[in-house]
Amino acid sequence: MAKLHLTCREATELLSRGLDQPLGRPERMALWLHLIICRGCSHFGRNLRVLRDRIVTGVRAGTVSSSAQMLSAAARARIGALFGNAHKPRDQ
Amino acid sequence: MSTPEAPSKTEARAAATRWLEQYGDRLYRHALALVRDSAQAEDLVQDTLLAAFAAHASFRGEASEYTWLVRILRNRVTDLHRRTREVALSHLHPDADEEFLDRLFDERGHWRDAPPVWSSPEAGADQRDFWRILELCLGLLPERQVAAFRLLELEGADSDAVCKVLEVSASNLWVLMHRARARLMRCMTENGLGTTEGADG
Repeated sequence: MAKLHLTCREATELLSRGLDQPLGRPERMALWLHLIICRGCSHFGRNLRVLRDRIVTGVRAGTVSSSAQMLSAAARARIGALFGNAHKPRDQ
Repeated sequence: MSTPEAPSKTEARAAATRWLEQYGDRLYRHALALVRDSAQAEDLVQDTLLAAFAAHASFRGEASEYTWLVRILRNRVTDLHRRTREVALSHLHPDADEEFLDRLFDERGHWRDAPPVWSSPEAGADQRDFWRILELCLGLLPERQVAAFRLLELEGADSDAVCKVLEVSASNLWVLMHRARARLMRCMTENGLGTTEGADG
């Protein structure tokens, strides 16, 4: 049984988990009651949404695939060479 | 037993070359989420493709090729974690982050400093900035938190798979994600994300 009175620490845990899986009814109720009176946690919850939305947007737009997140050319060549690559020029 | 005729080595080579081309970056990002170190991530991609090359004949097309490759990659990571278990358990324990929460909340569990609200993003103008700050702050998270966060949020992995790779229970995963998000939020606020109104204090 979830308790009705949440600390901010508990409320932020529920806010975070709520992004990844549906919360139970008592948890939602307790969270709702807490958010009515707590500005800090409301901000935290809103910021979590902003974070999630911007990541989703970025992943979709491909912003996330910066060069730092790609296999380096050197590694690619090294790994490719292991499979006796087809890049060998054919004779004639 | 009726095994289908093993594909020739040439076929396996061609397949491996294609995997590298098609999935190299995605596998690398996946690996990077798990090990952090780019050299180690590159090695993981290499090991994965070598293992896939050797097992080419056993790929039956029940899953997509990429899913199959990721499964191999994850097994490699699990092995890797197993080999470095002592390290993994000592400073990577998911509960070892109480001290950060204690800085955030007082002994009654209330905010010491309530977070300011971030302004919603306008257009895509500052999107680049957002990613720069996000990457910077991800770099400061404890290892398992960043792995959980990258896999769930950036790679879109499902939580069961993440639990398996990180060898944690579901509730531990939520703990990791909570800490990761709380740390990120603090760090990103400190680095000037979306606080046009200015935080008080």
